[in-house]
Amino acid sequence: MADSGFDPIIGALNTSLNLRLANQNVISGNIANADTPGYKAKKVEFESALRDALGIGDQLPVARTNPKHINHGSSDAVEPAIFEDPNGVESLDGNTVDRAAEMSRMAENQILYDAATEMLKKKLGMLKYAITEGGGNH
Amino acid sequence: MDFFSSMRVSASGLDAQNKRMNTISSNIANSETTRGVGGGPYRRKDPVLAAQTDRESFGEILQNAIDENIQGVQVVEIAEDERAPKMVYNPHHPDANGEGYVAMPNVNPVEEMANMISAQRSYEANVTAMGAAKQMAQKALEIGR
Amino acid sequence: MANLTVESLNNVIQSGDVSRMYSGTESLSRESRAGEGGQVSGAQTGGPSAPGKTFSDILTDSMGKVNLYQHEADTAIKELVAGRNKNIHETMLTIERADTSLKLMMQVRNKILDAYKEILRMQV
Repeated sequence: MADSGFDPIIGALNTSLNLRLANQNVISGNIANADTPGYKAKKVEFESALRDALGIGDQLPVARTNPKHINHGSSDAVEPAIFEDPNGVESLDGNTVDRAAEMSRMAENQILYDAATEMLKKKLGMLKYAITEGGGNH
Repeated sequence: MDFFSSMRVSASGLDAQNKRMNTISSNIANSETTRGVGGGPYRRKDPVLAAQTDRESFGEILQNAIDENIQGVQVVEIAEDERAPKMVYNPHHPDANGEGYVAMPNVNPVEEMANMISAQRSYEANVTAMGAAKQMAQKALEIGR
Repeated sequence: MANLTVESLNNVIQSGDVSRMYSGTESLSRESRAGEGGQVSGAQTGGPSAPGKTFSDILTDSMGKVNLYQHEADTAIKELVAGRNKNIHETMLTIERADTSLKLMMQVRNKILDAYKEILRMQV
């Protein structure tokens, strides 16, 4: 739905905003459970999947010769992988949340979310500028 | 090499100073403890900090020499102070030896207070550094606005 | 010849597809050159700074650059979004360059159209 009729970049930005939102939710959950005994910190990983979907990944892009194939050219289908952080250090109560690391991860996520909205704004702005032949109230 | 490695390094600093603060609290709380874990008086503890190359996630390959020189900090062990316990004459103390001396912890409260201020300042410096990195990244978003 | 280029430019821009702009103008300007037998009079060349270059060549070149900047911006966005490159300032600068060059191109196009209309209104 994201890239129907639009630039695939706009679809990619939309997907990235969704994924960053999912990441924010997971980080909030970790911070909320920073004192829950036995809670294991969770991590979200989606960047490599997004790289593959956008064709800038490490693996070669898969040819899509049939519409029933998984759409590799679209970033719509990218799902975040949520897993327990394997590098987490357990404290005495079995909790693996590192508050400082979560805060830094949250700041990074927030900035990249802001960056994605900013870039989306720019892309749409350029599109609108071209549509209004440079005469719109831009 | 980006603002986020800077923030991760600051986060590792916050974590290390937090652990340092915990050992200082432990030292102050146990400055009169004559029965430490494993017998004898409590021994003063000190965190050992070691620089560690910043790595975003497992499986990430370092890109160049600059990345390798961006190092976070980590508490690798909590060492015990080897200084001898203070011998205080107090023959009525249940832990007094045959000559009436009690082995008290080798903790000097004044030293601990100084370390506490140092830990506090370092923590603040890391918070400021992280805030600065965040602000710089947000300013970069305003390019051309 | 200049008229033809302006029209082709207008067509491409009105189709709303910036990425097709370069190839569109290139093919059309090639047609226009073929129509005139490759002959360009001195009055229509780009002036002393670009000897042998026609106005349409210059226009095509700059359109190509605008398109290139757009593609560069798209690549930069992709790389930032997917975490390959996390240099926000580089990405923002690349996008800003694409944005500014697009705006400049649009303004130049508007000016050319104005000039064309002016000539059209001229009494012979």
